[in-house]
Amino acid sequence: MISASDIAFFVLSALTLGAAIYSLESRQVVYGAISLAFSFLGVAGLFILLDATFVALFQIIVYVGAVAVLILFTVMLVTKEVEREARREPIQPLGVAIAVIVAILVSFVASLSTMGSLPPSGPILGVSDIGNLLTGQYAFPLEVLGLVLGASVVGALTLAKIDKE
Amino acid sequence: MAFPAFFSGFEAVPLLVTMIMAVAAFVIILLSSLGLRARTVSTGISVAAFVISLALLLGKVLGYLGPILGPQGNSVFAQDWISYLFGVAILIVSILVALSSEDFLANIPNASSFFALLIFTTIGSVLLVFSTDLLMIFVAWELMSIPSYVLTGFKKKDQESNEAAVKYFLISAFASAVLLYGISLIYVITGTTNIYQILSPASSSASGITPIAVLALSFVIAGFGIKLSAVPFHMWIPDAYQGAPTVVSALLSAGTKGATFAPAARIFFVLFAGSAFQTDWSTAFAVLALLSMTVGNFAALTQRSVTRILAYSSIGHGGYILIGFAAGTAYGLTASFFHILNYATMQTCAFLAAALIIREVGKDDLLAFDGVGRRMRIAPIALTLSLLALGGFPPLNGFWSKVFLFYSAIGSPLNLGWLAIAGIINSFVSIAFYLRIVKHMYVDQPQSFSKLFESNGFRVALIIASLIIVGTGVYPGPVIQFASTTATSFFSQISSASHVLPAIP
Amino acid sequence: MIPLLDYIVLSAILFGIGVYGLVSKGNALRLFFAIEIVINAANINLVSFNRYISASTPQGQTFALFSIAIAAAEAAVGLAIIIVTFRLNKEVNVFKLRKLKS
Repeated sequence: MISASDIAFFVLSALTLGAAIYSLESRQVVYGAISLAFSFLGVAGLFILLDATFVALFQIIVYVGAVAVLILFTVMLVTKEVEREARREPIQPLGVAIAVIVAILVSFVASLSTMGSLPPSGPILGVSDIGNLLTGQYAFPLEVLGLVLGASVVGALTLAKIDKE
Repeated sequence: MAFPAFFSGFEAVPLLVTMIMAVAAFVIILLSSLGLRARTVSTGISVAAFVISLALLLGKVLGYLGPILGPQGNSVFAQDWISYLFGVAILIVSILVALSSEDFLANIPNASSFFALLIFTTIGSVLLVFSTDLLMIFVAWELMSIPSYVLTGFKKKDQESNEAAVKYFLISAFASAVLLYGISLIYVITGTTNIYQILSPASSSASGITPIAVLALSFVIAGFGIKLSAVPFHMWIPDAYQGAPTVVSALLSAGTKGATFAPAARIFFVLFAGSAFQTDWSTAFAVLALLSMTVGNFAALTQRSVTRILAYSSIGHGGYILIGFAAGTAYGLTASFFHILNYATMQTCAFLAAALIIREVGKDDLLAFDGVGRRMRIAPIALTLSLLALGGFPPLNGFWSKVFLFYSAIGSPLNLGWLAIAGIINSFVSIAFYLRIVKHMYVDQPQSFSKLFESNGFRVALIIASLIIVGTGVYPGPVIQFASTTATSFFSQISSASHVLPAIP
Repeated sequence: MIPLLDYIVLSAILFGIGVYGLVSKGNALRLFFAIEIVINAANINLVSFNRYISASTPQGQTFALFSIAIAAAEAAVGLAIIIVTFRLNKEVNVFKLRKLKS
């Protein structure tokens, strides 16, 4: 019996994986960037399937909304005209082999443990539980995260601005 | 007394240190908009912030601000000896780098941003060594890394600096991503992010988790290995150190690299000491140590660029430090910690002295160093001292910690005598290229005899570093005591707990 | 209901794709994409384990939030570095940057 959530899982997995592969293999980097945004969107869908609605929203706002747009701007700033006709980089067998080995190894090792067949447990955790954790145990990491964002703004502006002679 | 009671509070010191440095960073950014002698003011503020933080840490170490406790409860920080030892090393490096940057940045724009980023990366490093929670480790790791990418590429008009930044960014961001993947697998196995809670038995309801635990820790080793520039994860690291502004190379090779050893020690010893895998993981560390030493020292022999020689020397010293980790005993860790403290000052001193000379002669080629000994006063002496210490000449500090390291390998229950022999051979090889730089500075004839300028900031930094090198070498007792207290208290924390992974039968 | 193993396999394949990109691509932007893909694989792990195994506190979900925010910070700095590279070299292929040699 195939349930609706099974279908959703397979559609979203196919979207995530296919878009991820196309983002690396597309002929032009611009299409790759757009494809990467779809991959992020697929991951957000998986988060909704996992009852993590807040993380899914955060993923869409930050990853699809901010990071993907930032990447698109960068791609447009750094792509040369000549790259329009550029040929695709050839697929390297070594890279494919390493990727397949890593993926199979992780999957195989995970299948050795009994946890793979465990059912979902406990209540669905919402934004209030996350809020409790963020203001309790993880209050200090949250503040440090603010410093990380501050440092990255200072750093990115320093690099990107054009200095007066 | 209320004052010391506050300091014995559990999170007071990391909190205070972070606040002092963060305020300093934002004051520097605000003052930069006024534009009045921004470089000098920023140097003053950042050095002051570092010195106050160092005083706080040393106050705890010397016992004026209450006792140092072990890790407690659910906190994201541990105020244990290991955090103080690494914190002291990092802050010394940052003070030396900040002092020399004042002059180094004379012709580079955006000096205030440089100091703000230097402070941010120092905050990250200090928090990294205090963290006991995997989430806190990850956030602190990124606070340490992200500003360091910008510092590496700080000379925006310079192609070498930019190439170093691209390569360092990509390899380092990959390291963070792999580390994150490893951490996510550790979270699977244990269901918690606190390192010391991982020790409490049966935190996961599943069975058959041992293989996945090994895989998770392999990813974590790869992530740390890239940051520690251990061979075979050292790709692009010499490029990064060569292309970065040389004062930043000092920070990368001593500060951020040194800081990475602390969470590595926490994660691996907490999970493995006394478990059935200890022999396997010790062997893994021994192999990393052997590869790093050999590749680092032999590759350095063939280099023409002084910064590249120092970069490979840094890789080699990472290998020496891992010897103590591989030994897996309290004695081995004492030796590693002692060598990290020494390495921090030696490597910083060498890079800073090289930075000054390279800036004055204009090139980092060995031939450009010809006869510099007659053209400058302090920098060649400091460089010679630090190189001799790195090569392990008695009675400088590097000699003592190397003796400890090799002795710990011989005394290890895991039969690592071969590692000690390899280390001794490597030490002799390394002397060849260290002395080669010294020969170029003092024996070879210079192209011109004109005196070269040495600024006061550089002089102060180099004199402080040289004094530490010589002082620790002549009277190593207190520093050895510090390292030994750290290692024994760390071992008593972990040996009393039971393990996720099966114990030795 | 979908078993946890499916999510682990999905994340393992995504991780493999990321590693493939890092091993075989030269364009700095594609390498950056690959890093983002690996981070997403780790996030799937964190959130799914949180749902299936350790469901009493949302530590995994919170960790995923942190890693998304940090990835954004890293993206800002990394893309700025790539823009500077393009300004200097008119080129973002790391194998064609060859100023630094032994």
